[in-house]
Amino acid sequence: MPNDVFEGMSRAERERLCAEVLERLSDYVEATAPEDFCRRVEQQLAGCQPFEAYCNTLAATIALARACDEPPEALNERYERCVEVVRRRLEER
Amino acid sequence: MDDERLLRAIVENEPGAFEEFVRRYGRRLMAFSVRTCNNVENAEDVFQDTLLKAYLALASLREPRALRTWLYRVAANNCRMMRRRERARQISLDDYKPPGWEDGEVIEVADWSDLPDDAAGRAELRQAFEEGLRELPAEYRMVVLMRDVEGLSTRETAEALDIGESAVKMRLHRARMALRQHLSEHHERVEGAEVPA
Repeated sequence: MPNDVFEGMSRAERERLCAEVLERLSDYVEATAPEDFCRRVEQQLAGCQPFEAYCNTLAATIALARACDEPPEALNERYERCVEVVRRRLEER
Repeated sequence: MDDERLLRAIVENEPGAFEEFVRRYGRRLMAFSVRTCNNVENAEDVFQDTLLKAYLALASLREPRALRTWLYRVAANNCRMMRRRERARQISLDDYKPPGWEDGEVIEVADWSDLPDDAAGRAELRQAFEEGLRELPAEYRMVVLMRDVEGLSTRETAEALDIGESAVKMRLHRARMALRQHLSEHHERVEGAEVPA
């Protein structure tokens, strides 16, 4: 992170920026944040290594979540058994 | 067969309707139940109950387009019933501030976003993700599962969980930050283990 990212900012301003960015990071990463917010963030945090690493790793976290859409294979047998139980209960009605 | 046709087949008790319903939604509901309950035995009960209740009540569903949302609503309610004795826990964003950021200090944050190329590395990362998921409070976990894993929209998730859309967004973001933190710690452990003594 370049030293001048926070240059001229008071502690209160840094805290406000940090809190706002943290609060909206998901929206920023998914490009659903308001344009003026994105522009301001890009101006103020351009070249900021922690910010970029946070964005990249949050995006990777979301990608991992979206990739795990099936139950673990070890559960296949249990799954088939559960479906069979429900099928029998429906037939008994 | 789309959901509208599937619903008609179920209402009219057509042969193969149950199989089609299970083929379309069974595994996803099982996965949702397992990940939400954090306990395979409870998840089996939740899954069976959801499948049975949902199948029997489908005839009364007025809006076929809402089928998927409605199924997750039934599953989420069953999971909540199972977990009602647990104390609710909140996630605070304060726990995920980058070290030193507010003080204007220069502290590097590890960027592990280049996911491993090899199958073993990917499996390990996926396992770490599942661990992180298990550690989330249930109400946050359900939001991640519905939004990111199952692909429901913010509005559908809000309807399924009977909460506001702003609550969905807030919980989703905090849960993702907690998961990111868990994966960062996993990355540190792996990197640390690779450094020769």
